[in-house]
Amino acid sequence: MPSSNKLALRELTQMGILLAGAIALRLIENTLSYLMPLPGAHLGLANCITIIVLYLYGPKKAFLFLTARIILVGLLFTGLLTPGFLIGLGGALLSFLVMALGSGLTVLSPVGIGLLGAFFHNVGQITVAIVLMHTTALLSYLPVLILLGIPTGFFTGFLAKLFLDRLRSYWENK
Amino acid sequence: MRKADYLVLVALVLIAALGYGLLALRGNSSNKILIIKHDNAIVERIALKGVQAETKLSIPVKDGTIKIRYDKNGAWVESSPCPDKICVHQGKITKPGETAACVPEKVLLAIEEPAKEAEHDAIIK
Repeated sequence: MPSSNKLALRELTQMGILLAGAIALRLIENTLSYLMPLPGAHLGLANCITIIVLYLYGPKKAFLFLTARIILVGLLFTGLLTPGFLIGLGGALLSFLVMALGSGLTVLSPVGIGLLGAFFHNVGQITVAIVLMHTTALLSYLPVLILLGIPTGFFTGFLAKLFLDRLRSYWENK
Repeated sequence: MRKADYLVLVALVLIAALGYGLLALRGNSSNKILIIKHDNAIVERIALKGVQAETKLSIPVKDGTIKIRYDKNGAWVESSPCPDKICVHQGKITKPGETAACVPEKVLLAIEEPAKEAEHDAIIK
C-alpha cells in the first residue's frame, strides 16, 4: 500500500507543522497576555489551529492533535496536572467536543465554531475551577469571560476561515 | 458567515447580558462577612461591619505567602506568589457573592451574607 502510506506521511507532516504552530502561538499569547483586559485571558490563537485541523482532518485526528498539544503545552508552560493545567484541560475538552459536533454542520462556518469554542472553553474552565475550589461562587467570573470570548472567538474563527479558504484555493491551483 | 453563525453570536451576547443582569441584581448589603478559605477549609471569617481600619492578613501557602487586605467595605489580594496573579488583578470585592480566587494556591476570598452561611457543610471557627 505505498500510496496510503504516502498519504499518511503527508498528513503527519502537515499536522506536525500545525502542532508546532499551535505551540508557538501559545507562547506568543503568554507573552502578550498583559495586553488583555482580564489577566489570564487568552486570545485563543491556538484554538484557531484546532479549528483548522478539525476541518482539514476530521474530529478523530483533530482529537489526537489536541491531546498532543495539551500534553506539550502542559510540559512546556503550566506543568502537568497542576490546577492551571486541569482548568485548561476542562476548557479544551469541552470546547473541542462542541466544536467537533459543530464542524459537521453545514449551517455553521468556522466563525460560528470559533464563537462556540470560546464560550464552551470558558464554561469548561469555570466548571473545573468550581470542582477544584469547592465553590459555585466562581460563577460570577463567567459573564465577563463570556463577553470577552465573543470578540476573541470571532477573531480566531475568522482567522481559521481565512486560512482554510487560502489553503483550498492553493490546493486547487496547484 | 452563515446564518447559524449570527444565531450563535446573538445567543452569546444574550447569555453575557443575562449574566451581567444577574450579577447587578445582587445588591449590596450592610451585613457582610468575609470568608477566606485555604485548601477548601475556612481559615478566617470576619464580619466586615465591625472592621474599623484597613487590616492586613497573611496566609502561608505552598509557594510563599498570600497577602490580603480588608476594610469595612470589602477585601482584596495585595500580593500572591502564584504565576498568573489573577487574584490580585481581580481587585476589591465588595458585594455578597463576589469572590477573588487564587486557584494555584487554593485560596479563596468570598463575601457572603449571614443567611447564606448556613449552606456550608462545615464552618471552622
